[in-house]
Formats: sequence, structure tokens, C-alpha cells
Amino acid sequence: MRAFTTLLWEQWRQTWRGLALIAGALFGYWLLLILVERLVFIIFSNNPRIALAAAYVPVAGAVGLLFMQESRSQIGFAYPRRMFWLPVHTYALVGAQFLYKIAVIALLAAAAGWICATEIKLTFAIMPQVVMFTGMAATLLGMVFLVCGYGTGTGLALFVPAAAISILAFRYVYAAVSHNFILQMPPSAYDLAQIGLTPETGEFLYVYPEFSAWTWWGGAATIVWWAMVSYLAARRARSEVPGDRVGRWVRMVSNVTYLDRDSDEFASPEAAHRWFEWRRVVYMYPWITLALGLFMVATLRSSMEDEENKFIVGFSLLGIAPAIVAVLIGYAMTRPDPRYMWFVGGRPLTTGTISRVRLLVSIKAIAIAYLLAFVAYTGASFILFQSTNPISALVTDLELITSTYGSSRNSLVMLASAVWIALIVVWSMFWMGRTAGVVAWIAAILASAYFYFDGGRVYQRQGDNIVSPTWIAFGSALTLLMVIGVVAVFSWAIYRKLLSVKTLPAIAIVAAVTVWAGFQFRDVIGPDNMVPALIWILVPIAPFATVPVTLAWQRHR
Amino acid sequence: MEPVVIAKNLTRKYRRVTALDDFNLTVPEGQVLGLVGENGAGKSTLIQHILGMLRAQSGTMRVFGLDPVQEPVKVLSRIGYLSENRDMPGWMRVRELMRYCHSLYPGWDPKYAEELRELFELDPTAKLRTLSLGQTAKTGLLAALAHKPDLLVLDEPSSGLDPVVRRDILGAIFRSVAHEGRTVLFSSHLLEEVELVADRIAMVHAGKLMIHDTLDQIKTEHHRVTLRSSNGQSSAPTLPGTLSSEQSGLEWKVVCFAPESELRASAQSAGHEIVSIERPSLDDIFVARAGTPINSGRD
Repeated sequence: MRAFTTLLWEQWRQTWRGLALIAGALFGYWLLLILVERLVFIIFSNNPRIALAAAYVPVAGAVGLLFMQESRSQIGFAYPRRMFWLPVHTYALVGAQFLYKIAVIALLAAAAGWICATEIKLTFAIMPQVVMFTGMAATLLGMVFLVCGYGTGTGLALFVPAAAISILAFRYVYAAVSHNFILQMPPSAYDLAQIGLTPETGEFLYVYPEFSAWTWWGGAATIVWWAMVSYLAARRARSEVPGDRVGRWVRMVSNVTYLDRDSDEFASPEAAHRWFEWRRVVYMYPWITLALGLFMVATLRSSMEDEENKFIVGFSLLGIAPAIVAVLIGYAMTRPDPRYMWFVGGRPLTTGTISRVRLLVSIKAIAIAYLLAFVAYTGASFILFQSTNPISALVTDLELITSTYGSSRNSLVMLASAVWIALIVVWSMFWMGRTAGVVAWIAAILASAYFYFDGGRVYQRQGDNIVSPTWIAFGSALTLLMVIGVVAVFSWAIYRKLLSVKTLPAIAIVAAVTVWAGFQFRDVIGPDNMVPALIWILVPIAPFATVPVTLAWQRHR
Repeated sequence: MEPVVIAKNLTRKYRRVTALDDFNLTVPEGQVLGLVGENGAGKSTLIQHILGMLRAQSGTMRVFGLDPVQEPVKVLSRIGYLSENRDMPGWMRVRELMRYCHSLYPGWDPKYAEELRELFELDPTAKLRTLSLGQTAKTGLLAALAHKPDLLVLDEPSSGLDPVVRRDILGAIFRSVAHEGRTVLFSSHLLEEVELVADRIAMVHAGKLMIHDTLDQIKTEHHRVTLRSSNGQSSAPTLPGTLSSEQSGLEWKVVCFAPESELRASAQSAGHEIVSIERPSLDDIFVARAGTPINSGRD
């Protein structure tokens, strides 16, 4: 018992600072919500978009903080090597770590869920799918610290169960809290009208989360799987099993997941470094995207219409999952790790070459991820809906989104535009994790702010649209600043020979195609949202200059 | 012959801490230079400047006559280095590291790399994160040596190596590299080791270069004098070039930077009896100069 407590203490010792920071941030966010709700209640009651955004903030914030803590090595769940030689049974070693991780994941997810459930009542009351998305985001918490530092095989083996545990915890707390304590006030007719639902004033309008038997069995099975993996890994670390037995399996899984071939020599130093960057972290992107996408597909609800479920399959696999994972991988790929800088920074490679390699392996990862996701999408469509033509299903989704029902040519144009925008968004997300994404972040914040606050406290109605003069003013000023920032970064990159002038036409083509693709969705975007939409054109081109500039700064301090 | 490394008035500050203060150093070709100093003296900062990982805030750094920040490929392809923390990617296998480095360095000699791997008894299939501290250091040495660099830069190369490897293998490597007309710059805490292998020594203290000369010259110019005062003098005796003095009973031990004849004459005229005049160890010289043992300082 004493040894077990010691092991738990070691886990606590290694993680408490980071976890305390996250807990403090969540608590602060909860307090802020209470204050905002008391002081400016109108925002929450009259603007579902804000409520929706607010539901993401605690989980996104917690993930961000975990990133920072992990980056500064202030949080880490792996035992120090010396712990493996303690005179305790491997069961105790694994059990302590296992219980601790489950407790942390469940607590973080539950805390995020509780905040959403108690303070963002409106969102949860009328949009049950939000629970799914926020719950899914909460599972990323588990993913971040479980996957970081592991290979794909081990990472996925750990991530999937962590996700299951997290979503179960989230759903349970949501159900318990919403059933017992909240929903004192039904949503107003205005709120419901905003998202196209029929108001039923005076009645509770939430959908109770489904807990089917397979969910519980699935959860239990994944926990057992996770325990087995952890136990085997610990036994291997303690040399209790021959390295070859486990190692053979690990090598087999790894060789498949690397998605590249081993060769005796590389064609050039750049090819060698492409291999290095790919194997270092980027190869994980397609696999995690696929795992996350399939996980989201698995949360489909039988109570929803087929069309709606079909849309969720496509949106999860081809939209949300690649974008979320891109942020994680982009972060891991570009963090200013001193170990990386000593190893790579001292090699005979120019900063431009390393940057080009980073950009190229990202493109390769996105392409493979979409290939895998499309295969999964086709399979899922076929199995779940007996849909034999996934392309036409995608076109139908787009027609639903855009409310455009036209010729097949129009449909194909819309499809191509959507694919391009999806790729561009994922591409941008790669570079949003770090400093290289500063410009992108500014654009994103700006666009989000414009989008979410355009119906704020001061607004004018113009026909069917709501226009906020304040945000137009802010938007214009910040847009101008951002354009200046992008031009300045590009100029600097060219001046320091980090970016070739010859690449500018290619970048211009990317921007032009993005404008064209965005133009196809002009009716969806709406005239009053064109400014933030146009800002996104700057986002995908920003990495071409910011990636080498940031790397140069990291490499030659 | 053009010097391999020239640091001129190099200054580096980390916020309020000055790591290098108007630092000047010239490393001639074909020499083994031992860089000694306590933790935080500025040795690693100097090495980072040589590798172009730090940009000169003021002053200049030239390696093979080039700025390593502006010309990383030309400079770094001629350098082999080992960092103090043996920073290597844990996911790589030894064989993969050799393959990666082979493609990056035009001068990589696969036969020599294999010889080193066998000499160091490294398993080619082992992942770097599973290696012991000593094995990691050996792997780093392999990566630094196998392209036969014109300049070998090693930050605390002995750290983690067992005494046999440290004395026999490392020494042999240094001698072989220098014998081929190539240059070695290494930092170390172990002054006995530096004495064994270095041709020249640069002592660094608080970001400044205290001494830079050949080992013989440094040893010839410094003396440790043991004096006995006839009148039971309680204050330290004044000898030319006194760097430090220490009382032990009736005797005084003084480390001086002056010719022996001058010391004898001065002691005689002051009425001191010279018990002995010896060549001090590098450690004595460092303590006398810096006023602090080499193993002190911040980490």
C-alpha cells in the first residue's frame, strides 16, 4: 500500500503544477461566466452563437494550457526511469499510473462539462450535438498528454480508450447535472428561431444523452485494452519479458504506420531531412485524424435523420478531425525544442531548406490523411447508409449547406471549392499551434470576433442582416494591420533569403484559388461576413513566410 | 595558416547575465584546444556561437573565415559536434542516425563509421532513447567523427563515459584527429584530462578569457612557491605576479605568474625562506586566477 501511495505521489509530483494551472483557469472561466451572466445576461440569452463558442472555450483553453505545460516539461505522466526499478509488482506500477490518468482525464472532462452544463444552459438545452463536440474536444485533453512522446501504434492504443473514458465521464456529468440542477429557464423564442427550431416555451427542451449498452461495453473493453497495453509496456521497460517478443509487434505496427519506405541512402540532404521530419512527428497526423474521425462517426445518434447522420460522417472525417489534429501536430512539429535545435540546428542545412521540408511534409501528411479519411468515409457511408456513391453524398451535403440545387457542373464546382477550402483550413491549422501561426491566429480571432459579435449589444438591423458598426470599425482596422503584418513578414523573409522571390507566383495562385473557392460560397457566407471570410485568404499564405522566419529566430537566437 | 575559429570582441547577454564579455579567442589549425571553466563561465555559449546557434549580439565570430549564422552549410559541413546534453532524437535507431548523417555530410566515411560503431559496441537496431548515458555519448561521438570534420567541437565529451573509454578511446581519437592536421575544441571540467590531451588551453571565467596559451607555456610561467617566514609574518608575502596565497601553519603557499629567478630574488630580499618551488597543476592555476574551484558555479 505504501509503495502504491509513493507511485501516486510521484505522478502527482510530476503533474500537479500543470494541473493546478488548468484547474485554476477553468475555475476562472466559470467565475467569468457567472459575472457575465449576471451583468450582461442579454448576450447569453440572445445570441446562441456566443453560447456555442463559449462551450468550446473551457476545453480549448485547457488543451492550450496542457500544451504549454508539456512544452515547458512541467507536466509529464511517464515515470522517471528510476521508478521502474522500485521493488514493487508491475501491477502496482501500472495500476497507480493508470488510475491517476483516468482520474485526471475524467476530472478535467467533467469540470469542462460541468461548466458548460451549468453556465451555458441555453446551448445545451437546445443543441445536444454540442455536447458531443465539446465532449470530443475534452477527449483531446487525454490525447495530448497520452500521445505526445509515443509512437503511433502506442499513441493510438492509448488515445482511443482515453477518448472513450473522457466522453463517458463528460456525458455522465452532463446527464447528472442537467437532470438535477439546471434548465431552470427555458430558452426564449428568439434563441430558438436563430437556429431554426420551433420554440416550445415553458417546456424543457434538452435531449437526454443516450447511453446504449454498447457504449458501456465498448468503454469497458477499451479500458481493459488500455490496461493491457500499459502493463505490457511496463513489463518490457522492466525487462520482465524478452524485448524481441513485444518489440517485434511494435516494429510491425510502426513499419506500417510510418507510411514511407526505409532505404539505405537518401538522394540528397533535403531528402534525408524530409525523412527526419516525417518520422519525428508528422507521420502520426493521418492516423490520428483517421482515429478521431472514426471516433466521431461512432457517436452518431440513432434518433437523428439519415441525412443528418450522413452529413456528420462527412463533416467529421473530412472536416473537423483533420483540422483539430493539424493543430496538435503542427504544434509538436514547430515547438522550439532545445534538443531539436541542438540536433538539427547544428547540421549543414539552411534554415530555408528545413522550412521547405516542414512545409512539404505537411502537404504530404494532409494528402495521405484525406486519402485515408475518404476511404473511411466511403466505407462508413456504405456500411451505415448503403450509399454506394460517396461523391454524390458529398454533393448532397453541400447542396444542403449551401441551399443550391443546380446542374451537376455547379455541384462539381461547389465540391471542388469545398475540398479546396477544407485543405486550406487544415493547412492553416498546422501552423496555428505556434508562433508561426501568429498572423493566422490574429485573422482567426478577428474573423471569429466579427462573426460572433456582430449581433452584440450595439447593432442595426438592415433587412435580414444584423450589422454592427463597432465591429466593422474594429474589423477594418485590424484587417489593415494584419495585411501590413503579412507584407512585413514576407518582406523580411525575402530580404533574409529565407523565402525565394520565385515562390511568390505560387503563393499568389494559392491566394487566387482560395478567393475563387470562397466566392462559390458567397451566398452561405453572406454579405456582412465577407470581410472575415476574405481575411482567411491571408491565413494559408502566411506560413510560407512565417515558418522560415520563426525557424530562423529559433535557430539563431 | 588561417585560424579555424576567430572570436573578436564577442559579447552575449541573457537578460541581466553576461555570458560572454568582450571575448577574444583564436584557435589555430591542427591543435587540440581545451576549454576550461566553471559552470556558467560561458563555454557552452561560445560553442553555440561557433555552431551558429547564437547570433553575435556584438563583436564577430568567424569559423573557417565565414559567419556560421550566414553560411550554415559551408561551416557546419566541416564541423563535427557533440552537445553537453547529448541532444539526440530518442525515436531514431543507431543505424538510422548513421544513415541520416551520411546524407548530410559529404565527407561521411561509412567504413570508418562502422569501425567506430564496433569500437563503441553499439547495437545498430537500438533506439537512441533506450541507450545508457555512456552509450548515448558514444553514439554522439560517432556522429561527430565519422565525416572526419576539419573542426571537432565537443562540449564535455567525457560526461557519461567510463574511465577506460575516457582515457584510452577519447585520447586516441583526439590524437588521431590532430595528427591528421584537423582541429579539436573541447570543453571539460576534468583538468587532469585536459592536461593529458590538450595542446592549448583556454581558461574562461565569468564570460572572459583568463588565459589562452600552450599547456607547456602556462605551466612554465606559473609557479607554486612554499615559503617560510623567518619573523612569523601573519600577512601574505608579496611576490611578483602573486595570484593567490594560502597560509598553512608557519608556511605560505603562493601561486605566482613570474619567472622563477625573479621569485627567488624577491623572496630572498624580503627575508623569506623558500621551502620549494613547484609547477602548479592546472587546477591550482585556475583557482588562483578565478578565485573559485572549477567545479563550482551555477549550472
